[in-house]
Amino acid sequence: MRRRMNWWAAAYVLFIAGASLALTVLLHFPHGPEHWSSDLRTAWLSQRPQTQHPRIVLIYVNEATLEPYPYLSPTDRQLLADLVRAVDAVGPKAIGFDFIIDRATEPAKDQALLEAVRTARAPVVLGALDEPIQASGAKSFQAQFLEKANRDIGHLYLDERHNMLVISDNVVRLMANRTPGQPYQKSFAEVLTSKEGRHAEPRSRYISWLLSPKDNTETFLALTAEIVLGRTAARLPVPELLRDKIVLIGGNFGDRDQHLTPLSVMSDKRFPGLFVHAQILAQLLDNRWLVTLPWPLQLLVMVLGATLGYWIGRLVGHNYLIIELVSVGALILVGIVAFAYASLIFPYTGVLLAWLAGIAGGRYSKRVYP
Amino acid sequence: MRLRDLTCAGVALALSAFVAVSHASAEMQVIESNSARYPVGATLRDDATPTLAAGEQIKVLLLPSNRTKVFSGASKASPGVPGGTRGVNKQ
Repeated sequence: MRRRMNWWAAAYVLFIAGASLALTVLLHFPHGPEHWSSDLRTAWLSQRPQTQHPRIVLIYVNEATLEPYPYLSPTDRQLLADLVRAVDAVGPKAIGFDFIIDRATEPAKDQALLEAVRTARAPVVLGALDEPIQASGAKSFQAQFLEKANRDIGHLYLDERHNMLVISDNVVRLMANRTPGQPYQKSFAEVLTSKEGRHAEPRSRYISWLLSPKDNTETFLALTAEIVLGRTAARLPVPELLRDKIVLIGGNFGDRDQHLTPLSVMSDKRFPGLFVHAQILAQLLDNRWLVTLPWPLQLLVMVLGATLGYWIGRLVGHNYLIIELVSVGALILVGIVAFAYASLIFPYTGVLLAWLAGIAGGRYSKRVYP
Repeated sequence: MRLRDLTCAGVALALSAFVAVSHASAEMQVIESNSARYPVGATLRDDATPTLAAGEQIKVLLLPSNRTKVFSGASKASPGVPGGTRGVNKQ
């Protein structure tokens, strides 16, 4: 009999230790409105198309492209000019240019790029960053270039979650907010979408990612600049590949503009900024959204959670720990189901905190008012 | 009887020609590669499975569908890539 009691005691201690560890992992200070497992959910349950996106082509300039050139940064402007002209010559629907032209390089090459962009027959959307405040009041090189180019402009910012108490994890999950007072109020992808004759006002800032297609092709048709310029042994039907497509031109360099996204979970793979812009563009073109509950509805769900928690708290005895673990698991499950079937971002953290506060309130009220 | 034979032969010939043509046109062209076995410009049958060593990777253009596909050998441990320097923080 005594031996049996010891087994129970050991099992109880192990359970408490395991449960405490699980609670530590599951209930750490919230980084954002969702549980930490939300990136896994996004990486596994986002839309997986049948095949490659039919409207978007990416053209990368990378280290290999620039091997014949004496410097890697800024990217050789003559190369970029040649690339813009080559793409424009085959009749794309639009060209998105994801290079920041913020410094002068070789004047003849700078001029060549300006002319290529300015005179292209296809609609060109130029990427830009916010204008720095100049003490002298003079225009920045970027501002002068953009003004002379006389093309549509979209900002190139992406965004991540920010929390005053927790350092950012640098994972791009969101489209950037607009910066008040800055000249470029629309994103690169939004302006490109307008070239398709559509106006896309984002319904939420969450990026709705496309996973790799079911046929194992790449998410977007992606070529290197040297292929498009005919500088490799590959002989491709380039006009056929680019004609009537939205062609995004940008860099893919190991040391810059590489981003973690929810798709990086498990692998830590970083994605070029151009790829992220293409994902946002595809979402806007496809009219595909991840939505969040409006604030009044979020508040209502939290109040309901707190009320139900209070009731449960008054009912349960010493099973508080189990209730917490089960409720965390249940809310994660709700979040997964909401994402998979309704493309809805469930406000996990808020509801969990309201629910736990309700349980705690219920338990203690039972002691005071049994 | 002769007409029927001729018709059958014609149909068979047309079918085999169609199969041959469609088979010949479905292929993959290597457009990026770090594998000596599959240099850029090489063409492979569309049902081929490239044999790649660890760390090797090729990208192919599937013809005639004009889609790109990447084949990779077993992953090779590599040092982490440093983070991006642009775009994720406006502040």
